[in-house]
Amino acid sequence: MTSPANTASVNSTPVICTRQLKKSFGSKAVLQGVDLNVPAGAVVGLVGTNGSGKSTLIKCLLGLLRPTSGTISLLGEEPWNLSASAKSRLGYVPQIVRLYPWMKVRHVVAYTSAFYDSWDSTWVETLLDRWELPREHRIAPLSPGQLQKLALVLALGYRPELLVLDEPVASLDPVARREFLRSLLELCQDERHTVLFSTHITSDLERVASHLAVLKHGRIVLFDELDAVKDRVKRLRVTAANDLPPDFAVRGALRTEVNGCQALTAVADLDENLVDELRDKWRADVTVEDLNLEDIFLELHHG
Amino acid sequence: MADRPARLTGIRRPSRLGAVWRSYRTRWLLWALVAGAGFIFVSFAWFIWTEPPNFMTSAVPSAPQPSPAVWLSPQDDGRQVDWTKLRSLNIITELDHCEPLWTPGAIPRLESLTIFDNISDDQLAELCKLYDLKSLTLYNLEAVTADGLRPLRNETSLEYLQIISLHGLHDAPSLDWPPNLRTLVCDDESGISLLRLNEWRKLPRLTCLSTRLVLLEHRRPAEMLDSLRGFPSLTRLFVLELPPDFPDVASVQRALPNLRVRPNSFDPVRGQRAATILIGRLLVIVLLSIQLSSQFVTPASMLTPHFTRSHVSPVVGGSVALFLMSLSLYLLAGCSILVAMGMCGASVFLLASATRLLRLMTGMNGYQMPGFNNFGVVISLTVFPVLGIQLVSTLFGAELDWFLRGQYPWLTLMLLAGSLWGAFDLVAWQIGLQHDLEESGCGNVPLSMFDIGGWTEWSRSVVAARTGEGKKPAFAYRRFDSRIERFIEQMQQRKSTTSVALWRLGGAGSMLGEWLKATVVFLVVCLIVIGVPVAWLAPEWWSQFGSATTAPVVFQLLGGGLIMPLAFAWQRRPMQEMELLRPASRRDWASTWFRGVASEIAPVLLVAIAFCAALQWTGQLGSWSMMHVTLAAVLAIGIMGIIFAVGMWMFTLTSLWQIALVACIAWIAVVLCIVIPILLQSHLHEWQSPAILIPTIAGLYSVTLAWRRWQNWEVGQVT
Repeated sequence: MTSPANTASVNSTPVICTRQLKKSFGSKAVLQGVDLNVPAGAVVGLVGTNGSGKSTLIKCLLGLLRPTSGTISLLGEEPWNLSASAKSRLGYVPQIVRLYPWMKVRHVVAYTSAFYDSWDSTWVETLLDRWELPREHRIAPLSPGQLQKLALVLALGYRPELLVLDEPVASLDPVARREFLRSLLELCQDERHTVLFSTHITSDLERVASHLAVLKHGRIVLFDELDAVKDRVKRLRVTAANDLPPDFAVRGALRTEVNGCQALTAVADLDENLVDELRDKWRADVTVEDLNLEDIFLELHHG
Repeated sequence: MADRPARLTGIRRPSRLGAVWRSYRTRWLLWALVAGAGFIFVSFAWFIWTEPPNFMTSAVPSAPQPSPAVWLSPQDDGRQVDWTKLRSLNIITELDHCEPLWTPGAIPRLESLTIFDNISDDQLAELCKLYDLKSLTLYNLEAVTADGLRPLRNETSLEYLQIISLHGLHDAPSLDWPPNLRTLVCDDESGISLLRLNEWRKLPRLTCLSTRLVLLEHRRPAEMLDSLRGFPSLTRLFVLELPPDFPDVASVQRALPNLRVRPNSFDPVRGQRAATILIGRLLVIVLLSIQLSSQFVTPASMLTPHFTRSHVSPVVGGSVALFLMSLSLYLLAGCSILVAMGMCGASVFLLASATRLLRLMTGMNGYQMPGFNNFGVVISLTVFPVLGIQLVSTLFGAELDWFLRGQYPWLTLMLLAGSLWGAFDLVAWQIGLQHDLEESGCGNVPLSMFDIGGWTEWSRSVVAARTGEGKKPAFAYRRFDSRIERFIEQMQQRKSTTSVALWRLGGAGSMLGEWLKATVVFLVVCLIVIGVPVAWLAPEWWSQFGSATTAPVVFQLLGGGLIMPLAFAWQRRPMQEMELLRPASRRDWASTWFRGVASEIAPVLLVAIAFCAALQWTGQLGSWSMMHVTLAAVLAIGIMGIIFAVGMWMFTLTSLWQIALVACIAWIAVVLCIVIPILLQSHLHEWQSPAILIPTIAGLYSVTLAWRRWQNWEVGQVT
């Protein structure tokens, strides 16, 4: 499935721009030089293993953490001193949702709406109904999934120009996840809204993302349009006439497994020359296999 | 099959117990409370144990001193006294020195008079003519004749009379006494004559008598005791000197079973030591209770094999050790063995009663607002020390001493029975905690009193669906809901002050109201529980009960009102990630927070100052003038500024040790808040020194530092 956002032509002006962004907590360096340009209108899926620094990166981008070094530009401003007008164009759903336990659902909605001129009450009511959120219930007893739904409603309610979501669907059931993706597509269909969201559910990412960013060891190791990534990252199945040597290596390989005369390797940037090169050098039959996002993620992190 | 349980759990019993003990060690809150409890306990112990022993205190009700009261010394010319408002006058100088006393209409409200100087027949007659006194204390009657006492016959309003010595009046065939006397104190060193006893027996309303039980006529005490049995209204007898053949006051009590016979004086140190041990025990039991509830609030308590036994055993073991230790301390303090056991149980009984009461108050056995359950322990820590020490050991110190000497066996047995019930009730409640929470649909709600979620009446609809009970929210919440909607409307109109107002409503304000409501109701119940026995056991002290309880209770509420807004605001800390990203600059966000918390604390300061001013106005602050109140207010503003700044600073900290350090600073500030006024009160002339401004400057500087800290706070580190 290809989403409208996926096929959208994106504006060239970056909404998020980082240069050599570093962040350390004491002696522990979490971000070690992140360079990232997120163009306007893009839906960027940020993936990485647990502890890779996704949340830290997001918090630095939003001005919730101060970078140790490097520069960040968010909506054209420095995040640490983000202006009120920039914040009114910015939406955020944290990984762990904390809302006011003493308020009712409708209170929180009304309370949040009071801050934003562009609050879309009709859409919010639709979302509340769609996600079956009980308006008269207080926040305290809501389940984590209900809380996450509510946080998403609050973040989507004013149709922010930039929406940053830190694992937004982690606690949602499959139905709610589909509803969330649907809402995200509704938001992004006008191609004026930018979304950055971290997730471990790559199938969701494939549904809505236009771009993929892979964070590994505190650096962005891959950032490109999703289709381009899928075109570039491939798995090669090599079957040679004779046994392959244990140090069998492929240029640009992310991971290589050798078993007798057979080898399985994943490459980050496939070109026709590489396939021909392998065929010629090892007198091998080379099959190129497409990878889905989960496979790409695994290959990137096994390398 | 024999080792099947061990295979099932995978952990042997000693290891299980070890793991439970380690859970105590690793619970930082527990250690923080232990440190706090230890500090308080050592402080109390230091103050009490350094008291000089055998410093006897009068057990007899003292003369009422309605405010405003004045002590007129030879150095005092009385120019600063507002004579028209004066209700109590104590003259320690020559009688003639006090000119207004003899001027008709000069002291129209005078009710209580104490005269140390010699008084003559004429002067006494003049006083009786000028005033309708309720209380009169005469230290020297050397110049008064039998006829001179005759005007007292017409003093129908006089209820309290204290005469230090009758001197030459012992042999007078008859003396006149105020007809409506309720309390009579006669401390004559030479004893009392049967003539006087028979005269007092004719006083129809006399309920309290203090005298020496030694007859001047050198007769056997049987006649005197017979005479005392014939008093129509007498209920209390204070014995200054025992009659012959009576080894102690208890033997007199046995001879006069219809009267409450007590020694004229008592050693207050025994009661203070007992109260100190009581508080120390209460603190430790509270800590054990908090730890136990934190263990039994998890589903693991229901699902893990042997959980209950493993977790209750350390508590039982610790309680037994604590019991033996405190039993020894009580015995060292001079209590009888039975009383010592009863006092050991009193702490458990008090905590169980507080917890049970709050659970009843919050409905559904407390699960609709689970935070209230543990709140009981906090209230126990704040209410009982005040009521226990302030009232019982001071106002009713003599009765407490009598009890500690084992003279109230029925009360001791009741305490023992109550403590057994309390221990069973507390442990049974803790063990069934998780089950009850799940049954009442509160599984997701934090039970801890340190989590504001537990203070929310969150589940009425869920509980109503399960139990079929009424769906209407409590009155306080109906008000809360309508207020929040009203404020949101104002917020949408973008009024400049509404963001702070809304913050207050959603944050500390509403919860503070709940806290205040619970505390006030609890205090009222406690006052009734203590006040009714007081009215029954010691009616002559009833008049002092109100004045003795008002100030401690008000200041206790104010102290809570100062700390609670910070504690409640702390609960919003994890939400700061989202709040900082609202359309407001970092500066505006910090400003809203500072103004919000300050507006929560400011009323406490204003009420405290107003209360001090009221106390001064009614003369209950002794020699304090309004200047002193003003300077105290300046001092209080500075110290509250420090507490406010420290509280705000703590929001920005992530390290436990940093928080502990700052908490210690806050604690020192609170101690300063109490100690400095006390020190300055004894050196009143130093009040006008510029040093008084030091806390104010320190407060302002602290707030500035906290403000800068907020500007650089990495909010993202909180979660």
